[in-house]
Amino acid sequence: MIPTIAIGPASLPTYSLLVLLGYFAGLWFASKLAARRGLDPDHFYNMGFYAVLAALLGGRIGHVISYFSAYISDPLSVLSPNFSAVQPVAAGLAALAVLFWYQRHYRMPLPEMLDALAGGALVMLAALALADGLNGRHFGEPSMAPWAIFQWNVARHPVQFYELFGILALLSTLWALLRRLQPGFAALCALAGYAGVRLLVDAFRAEVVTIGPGLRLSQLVAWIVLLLALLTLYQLAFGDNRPGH
Amino acid sequence: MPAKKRFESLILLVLALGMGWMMLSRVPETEVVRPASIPLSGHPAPDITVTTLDGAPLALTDLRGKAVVLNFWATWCPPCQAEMPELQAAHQAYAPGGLVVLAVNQGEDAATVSAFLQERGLDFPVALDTQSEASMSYLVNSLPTTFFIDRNGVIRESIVGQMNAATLKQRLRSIYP
Repeated sequence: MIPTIAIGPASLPTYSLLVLLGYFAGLWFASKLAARRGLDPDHFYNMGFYAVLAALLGGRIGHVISYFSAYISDPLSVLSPNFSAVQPVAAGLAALAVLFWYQRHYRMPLPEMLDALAGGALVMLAALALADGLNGRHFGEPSMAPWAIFQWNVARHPVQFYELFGILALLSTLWALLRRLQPGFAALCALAGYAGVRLLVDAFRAEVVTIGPGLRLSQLVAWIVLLLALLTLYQLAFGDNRPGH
Repeated sequence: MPAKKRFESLILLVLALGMGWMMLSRVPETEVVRPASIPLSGHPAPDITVTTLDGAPLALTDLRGKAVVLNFWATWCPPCQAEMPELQAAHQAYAPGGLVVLAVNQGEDAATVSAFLQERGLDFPVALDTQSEASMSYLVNSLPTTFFIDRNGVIRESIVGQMNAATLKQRLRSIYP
């Protein structure tokens, strides 16, 4: 595991570093996909900036509302540059609201925009899988396989890297097929593909929440999402209400 | 075969293979899953033994049955100093209900730590980790780092960096509802 890397005298946490890098790499990839879809790539950098700003602001307002009594005793802490003082649901809703506003304001075609954003999201998920691998989070089951890696003193399936390679394969497929897919189909393919990756690799994860006869909950959710994405693709491609029908 | 038929076959294939794969990789009911003791949320807290300021050994397992705020700190660390009043307030408010704030000092001697506590009027339990064994067990890379451990000895939250009253209250909810 590599939880930190030394750059000069500074010791930087790899998890936070990769989250940051993944975010910018995701924006970059979304802008490239957007250009291929005939959209202005700059819109995606702007959206990324506004979404982060909205998430920080909305998340902090949510935190102040949730823990009002703590803020009353120290009102200046409302302005504290502490990124952990953020309410995650409020942050997510604020970011989504800003993306919705941006799409309406600039009259961006939703299917093309979703295609680009889905590619960016996959890059971010790849960065998170790598960060998990380097920090031993969401680790695999014990394994005797020759490619097993030592995490928490046990040779284990490198499940975080299975996920990383799965997402990278998905990204390269998406990039290659983008021009042949109708607008909106790339986003659904990305969703189906990621669900497929999780359905496969979560069989090797050690941290398990089970349901019913020992089924892994994350696999069950991935399977349902995969089927729903495929059914939506089918409906759009062959249904009576498909575009232009 | 027309594209529509091929797609229908694909959906059926995913339906069947997905179900088969899930059944194949399910966790048998007879298998006892014992989560490893590692410093991650949802896992049993690694056991450590630290030394109190009186020189007595204190094992984390001795605190089982109580909610524990395990804070790694040092006197020379400004963010650690800044969050001490919040830890003191939590200790005063919740200790009668079974919350233990245990501040584990990294690498300093008892005289330095005692002087610091006296100067700031802090009276929650403080222990020494002179050889940094406890902080190594918890993979502490920067100070302050705080773990929130429930009454069953399971880590529920952790935070790296300074807490304020609100962020401390937020994390306390996970172990001291």
